[in-house]
Amino acid sequence: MSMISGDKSSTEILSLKSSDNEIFEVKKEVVLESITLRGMVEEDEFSDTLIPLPNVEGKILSKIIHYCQKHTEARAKVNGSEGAADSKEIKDFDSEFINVDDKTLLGIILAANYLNIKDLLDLGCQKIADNIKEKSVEDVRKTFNIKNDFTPEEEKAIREENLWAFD
Amino acid sequence: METNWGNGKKEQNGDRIINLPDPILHQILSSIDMKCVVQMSILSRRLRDLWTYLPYLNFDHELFPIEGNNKKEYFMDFVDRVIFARNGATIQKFQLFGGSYCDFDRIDSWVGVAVRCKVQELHLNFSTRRPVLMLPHSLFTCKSLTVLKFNLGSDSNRPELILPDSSALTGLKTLHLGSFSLVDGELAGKFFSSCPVLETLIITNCSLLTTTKDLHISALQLKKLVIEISVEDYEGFGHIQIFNGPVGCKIKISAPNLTSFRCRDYMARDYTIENICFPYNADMDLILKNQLDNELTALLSDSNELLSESKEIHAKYVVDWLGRFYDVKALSLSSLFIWVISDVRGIIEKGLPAPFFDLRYLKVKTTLYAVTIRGILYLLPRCPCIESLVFEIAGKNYRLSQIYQSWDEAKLNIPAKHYWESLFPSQCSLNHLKSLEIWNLFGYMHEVVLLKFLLKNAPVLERLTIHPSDEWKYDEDNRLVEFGKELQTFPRASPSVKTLLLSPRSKPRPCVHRTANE
Repeated sequence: MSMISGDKSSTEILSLKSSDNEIFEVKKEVVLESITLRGMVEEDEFSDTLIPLPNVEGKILSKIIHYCQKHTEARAKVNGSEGAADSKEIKDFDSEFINVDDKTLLGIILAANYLNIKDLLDLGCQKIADNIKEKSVEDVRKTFNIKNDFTPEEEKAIREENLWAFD
Repeated sequence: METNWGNGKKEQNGDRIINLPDPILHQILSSIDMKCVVQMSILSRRLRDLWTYLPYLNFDHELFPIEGNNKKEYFMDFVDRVIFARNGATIQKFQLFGGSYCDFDRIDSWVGVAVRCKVQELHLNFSTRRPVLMLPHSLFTCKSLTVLKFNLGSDSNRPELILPDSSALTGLKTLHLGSFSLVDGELAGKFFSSCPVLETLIITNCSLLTTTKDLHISALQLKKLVIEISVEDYEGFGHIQIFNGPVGCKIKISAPNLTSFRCRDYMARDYTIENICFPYNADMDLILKNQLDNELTALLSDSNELLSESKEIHAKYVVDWLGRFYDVKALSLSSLFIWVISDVRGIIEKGLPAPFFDLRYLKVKTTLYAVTIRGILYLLPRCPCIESLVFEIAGKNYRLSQIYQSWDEAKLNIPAKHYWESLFPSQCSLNHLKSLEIWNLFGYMHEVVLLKFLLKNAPVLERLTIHPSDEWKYDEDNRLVEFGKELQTFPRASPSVKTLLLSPRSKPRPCVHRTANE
């Protein structure tokens, strides 16, 4: 197993291949934002530095890479001193970044979960939560396309059981 | 397109929230109020009973639109019902915003249940009329607890909080206590010091009485400390200013792993910060008693001095505080402290021989008057290794005097220009300064003079970032562009300064970008 030397990591480029065969060239330090990929890279399973990601489609992977790049840069800037400006910058970036349609949002969450990028997973989950908070229960059903799999009798029973939770 | 999510079942439409794996679904719902989660039980089978085992419980009285006397009973009954329907299922986080709609006895019982359910994070926010409060006893033997936030959320009533002198909180990493009075500082100190893995301690809106015993915090793992003392203790004293001796109790902090300390307290309080292993960040908001009166008096007087008397005592306070900053690598100071430094700078020389060699970052939050500029100019040569300097201009200069004109209006005002320029020494070595940032720039002449001075004296400056104040939003004559052009003409010691003059709108938009000088 060959050793990957530490000081190469900032310039080494890795390739990520999405489920729809799009290839993305990414700096190693950015790839390491994903704990899953960090494990793969360190195991050195991919000696030709091409990592296939059959669970993530190109459109989503591209967004994820953008997120990781931005966060890697921000972390490098803040290193050491207080970075109040930077953290505002990152907050603004995050809130714009996650302002996407529900389908993309779900894709990002699932990919962030698979790739184990905690901050991105937290960001995505919080966004969905915020979307839910603003809605009535019926709107939640519509927005998230939740199929009613109860029989009419079951639904009636549940509504009565939980009447106390409705105003 | 087939996808393989959700408990291993293949779903035709993988992009549905309802098919997310349990941990993710729980995480999404973790910040949703229980009222909503229970209501969602009618949506689908998967959500039907979720509320009875979701390990995150959020209760917020504001989501109950019921008015009047019934609200309290209704809210407390709701919480009871949810808790007891769960049959002891694990609770990861329990968060309550009870307002004035909770009896403490019921809260006590909920905490008991949460502890039995191995709660990890407990956030309690409520207000009470009780004068004294003792935290639920069951809490202090809760080994699963990692985060405890206890906020009594009322500005007017700060009940005395009685803490035990020790605990078995072997997992507690984060502790926030808010809006309370501390009478027995010694006991509280013992309590904080008894939490072996405590990393974050935040105390806000805390009243320390004149009779409070000294607070000694000794915490090996403590990284982040916030102490914000309520400064309305002295309502009864009105305009009496007490300059003789320290204020109330002393505070001693012994934290080898401290990385950040934010403090809002009287300048006069005796702090000891010891056993620090690594340079840390300090955010200081030090005030005098009757703060507003002080500033107002100084503003209205011609001398622009803050202290009309007792300069020696305040000089001692300043020397003591500056002496505490030798272990600090990033320091943030606010206006009153700068002002006092300026007032007493003649007296404090002997107290401070050594410069702050460890200081790399300095942030100054103040309105720019001549007196505060003098205070800043006193500090700068004593921070020879500063790499990053940030000015957060706190407010507009409301005096209508001629010396407070904007830079373009004042072009012909030679006396005003001389007035400001005379404040500055001929030079100041900022030999390590790489980054200069100014927030809330108004465009006054004196800001320009300050900027020119800094640019002239920073030979390795790499970045200059200016955030104009919101007032520029109403700039219809494109004065900001003019300012940007003028900015490019300022002579600078550094050969290469990347300058960003940001737009006062919400999104930053660079107006000026320079990479080379001359």
